[in-house]
Amino acid sequence: MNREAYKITPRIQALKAIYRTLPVPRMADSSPSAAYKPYCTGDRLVTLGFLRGFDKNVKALTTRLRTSLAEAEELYQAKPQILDGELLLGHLYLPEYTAEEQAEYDALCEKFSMSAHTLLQRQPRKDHIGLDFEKLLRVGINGLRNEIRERMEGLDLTGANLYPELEPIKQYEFYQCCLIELDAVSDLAARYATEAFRLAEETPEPRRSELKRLGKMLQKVPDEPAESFYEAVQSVQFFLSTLFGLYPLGRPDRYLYPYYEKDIRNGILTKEFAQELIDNFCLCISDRVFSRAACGFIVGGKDANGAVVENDLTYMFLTSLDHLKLPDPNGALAVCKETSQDLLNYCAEILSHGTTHPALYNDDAIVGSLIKHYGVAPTDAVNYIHSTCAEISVIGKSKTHTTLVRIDLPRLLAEVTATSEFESFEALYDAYLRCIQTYAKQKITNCAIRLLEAARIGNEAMRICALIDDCIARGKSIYEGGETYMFEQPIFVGFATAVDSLLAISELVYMKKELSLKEFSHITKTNFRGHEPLRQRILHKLPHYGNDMPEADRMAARFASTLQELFQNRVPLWDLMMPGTFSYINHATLGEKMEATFDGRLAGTSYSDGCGPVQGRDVSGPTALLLSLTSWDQSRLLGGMVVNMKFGKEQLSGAKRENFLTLVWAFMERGGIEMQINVVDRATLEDAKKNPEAHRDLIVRIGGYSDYFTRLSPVLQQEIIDRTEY
Amino acid sequence: MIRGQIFNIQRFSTDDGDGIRTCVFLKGCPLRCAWCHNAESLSAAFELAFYAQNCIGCGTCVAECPTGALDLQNGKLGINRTACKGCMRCAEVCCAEALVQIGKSMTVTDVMETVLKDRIFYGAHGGVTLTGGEPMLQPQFAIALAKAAKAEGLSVAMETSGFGDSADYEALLPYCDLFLFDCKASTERHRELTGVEDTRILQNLDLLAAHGARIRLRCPIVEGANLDDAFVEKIIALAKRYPSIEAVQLLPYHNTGVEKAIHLGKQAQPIFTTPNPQTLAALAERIEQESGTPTVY
Repeated sequence: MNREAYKITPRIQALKAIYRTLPVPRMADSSPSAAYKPYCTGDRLVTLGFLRGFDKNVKALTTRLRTSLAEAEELYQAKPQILDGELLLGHLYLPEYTAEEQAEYDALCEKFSMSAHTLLQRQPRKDHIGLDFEKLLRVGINGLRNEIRERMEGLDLTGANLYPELEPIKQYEFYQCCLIELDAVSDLAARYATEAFRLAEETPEPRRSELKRLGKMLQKVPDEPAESFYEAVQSVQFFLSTLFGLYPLGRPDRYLYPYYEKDIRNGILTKEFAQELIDNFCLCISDRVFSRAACGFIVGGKDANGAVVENDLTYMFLTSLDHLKLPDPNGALAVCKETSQDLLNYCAEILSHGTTHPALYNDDAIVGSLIKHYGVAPTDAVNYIHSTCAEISVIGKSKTHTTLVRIDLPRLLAEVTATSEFESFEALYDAYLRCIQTYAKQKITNCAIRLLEAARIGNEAMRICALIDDCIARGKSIYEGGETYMFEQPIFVGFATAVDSLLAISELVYMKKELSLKEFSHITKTNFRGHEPLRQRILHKLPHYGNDMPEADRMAARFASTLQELFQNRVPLWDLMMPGTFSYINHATLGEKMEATFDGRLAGTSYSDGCGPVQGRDVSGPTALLLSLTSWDQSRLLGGMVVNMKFGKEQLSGAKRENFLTLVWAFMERGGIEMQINVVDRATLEDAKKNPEAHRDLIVRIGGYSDYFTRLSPVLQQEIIDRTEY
Repeated sequence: MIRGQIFNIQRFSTDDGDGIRTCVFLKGCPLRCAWCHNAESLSAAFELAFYAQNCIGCGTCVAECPTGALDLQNGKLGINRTACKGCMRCAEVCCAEALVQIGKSMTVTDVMETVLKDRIFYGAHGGVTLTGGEPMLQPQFAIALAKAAKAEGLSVAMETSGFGDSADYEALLPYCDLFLFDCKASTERHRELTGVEDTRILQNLDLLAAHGARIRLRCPIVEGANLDDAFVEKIIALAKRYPSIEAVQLLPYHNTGVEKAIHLGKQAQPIFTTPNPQTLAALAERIEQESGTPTVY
């Protein structure tokens, strides 16, 4: 593959500077799942426009129609804004509200607070889904509308067909919702076009021509099929930007490539300009993502014909990560056996610059597991994405719920051990699993019950369903079974903390019989006060997961396989379950609230992250760590496998880079699912904790996504510092 | 079965030979270089290291010590090194890895068990590196280990001061793919700086080169100690003379050894300055130009 080194252009640099001064959508409080506090402007979850729309359409026939009318109103009220130098339009800047607007916003939030769990939070959130942009580009919104109208006309609404479930009526209403919203998208595109022409009149060349070109484009896409690469990128960007959500870009080196290839062949596109467009595209994604969230793309891997996808766009999207050096887009590379050494080498080079992207995903293992364990068709399986962070889903065909069911493994172990003594380790282990099972069952059932409400009120933009198979054909939203694959993704938090705890209990309570479970439990509840020697012994002399020690790895393997089995036959909706150990920021937030644990972890500190070892307890180097991590079958936990590794810059540079690549290949060959790399030294991180102002641009990899180090909580900052560096 | 005195086995070593390697550190060294960064490698005997920052002052070790060599005052542990008989009971009971036994007696099978764990990472170039100390101070063990590794198809490298027995190097030759051969000081100042003459070292280099062994010449660069014209000229001359020296590696001084000596209760080492990158670059360029041998640092 020819890899030409394009530099970031002055235009993109300027845009990056402008975008970073714009108001950023922010979450109101520390956890996305916490109760929504309605004082935050610019939150993507609820805008003033949406609330006004919801208020205004009180007479809508159903709540779902009312939600869609509010979604539409959000767009009708949006004012087109075009910034100097932008090559792509439709970037909805969320203005700071005036005092009056803020008051109105607060009042409306108050007014609808009865629906806080459904309306205001719009939970369970459905973004995190890869949409079928190939289809959007092929048929345009007009095509989608036609398809929907045809289906509507084909509905049999005769009385005999309505009962018992009023199914055709629900379908009719669903189609109405889609049309209401799609029309609003078209309207906004038209207004953008008008604004571009208006601006062109008062702008000198060469920008005038650019604006005219943009205006013409917005008169065409996203309504009509795209015909050029530029139109294709603009169409996707426009559609995405109206959604106010974390919808990933999917696989741009697949759906954009035909347009790129044709334009290059016909000489109407230069590679330099293509790179600039991609940079602008990625910049728009970055600006849309609020703190502690992520939105990305995945490139590479193999297509449905088994051919490796590795083209100019694969490289260009990766290059963009290097150009922008921002937490988002959360880029990923699908690595299969046939992935070229050159491409991997290029990734290592980018990573060595401290970008934290791309994360590396094991294409062969993931595709294999989707087919084998999750009933995904082979042609669909090759089109997976890491959703936003690390949870696997199928682009344009699935729904995912991630992190809605969080299972705090160390806390459940503490609960079990606090109340009873057990005759043997086996008895304790069984009780622990029963406890996890009961907890998971209850949580998952609740989650399922919430779907009832979501199905009725809409819960989210219905127009996305037009790009998810087979919603239109079935006349059903993704809350009603319109999607081909539905994945419920409960996550286990604190995997290694729990494994190391079990190891310590097994050794001290049952094998050496040095203390009773009750005593040990009491010691953890009092934060090892007066028992520092015991804590030190646990830390230094007992086995810990992550060191290629058979004893510890056996425990991890056993625990992992039991967790997987939990979802095979004893939990409601089990066939939808795709559990994971992806922990997002929960290992820090849950750890912060948790007393000390049996593995010697002190109260209030972070749990282990993802499926990785307890921070700092992996003392045998990266080869041992990778062997431990792959000593058990990771492929059943596609709900998110996160392996964070921290390397010194020199390990990814020069002649040593080959060793790093050897690690990657070996990890993949042994079935490891995901690997993400931080290249930043401890001294820098420690300094950044003390002097945040001097390190505002420092990006680190968290649990499947990246963020600015200085805006993390102190506990999470420490967690990252404490990870072992190789 | 023959046993070796090992003080460390380090997996994922990327500085001592090609690819990903497992370094086996053999304890004991006949040289005494002023800048040595592996104080724990010098003595062939097991040693007791004390890492004060890990000590929690629990006093378990004091009660365990049969000779009264340990005492705890105001939470601070003191070690009477002359009273200590090296029984290592204190290290056994220390919960915090503050007192640690340096050195372990291992068989070839023991060592190979760890070495083979990383087989999938070795690829075509990686493997095992015998280092120390001076591995050729335990020649029988070193040769047996190299032989065992070779039998497993691994690449074998040895880092050596060259101060072993010629017959041993000859015996090792079939099982060693690469020698990281030290060149530490000018002939004139060799005894002064390393404690030994370089006569034997140069003979062994000659022997290995005569057999066409792959050699990389490793040269510590310590300003204020070994770095003088005569030393540089010696490096150039050797590299020029022996075509089987495929590269010269300059190892800039670093002072991590200083703390290690303190942990072992040894006399503090002199501290030298780390050479700056420009000095190294100029030096590497000169050596490469005048010897025609690739020189890296």
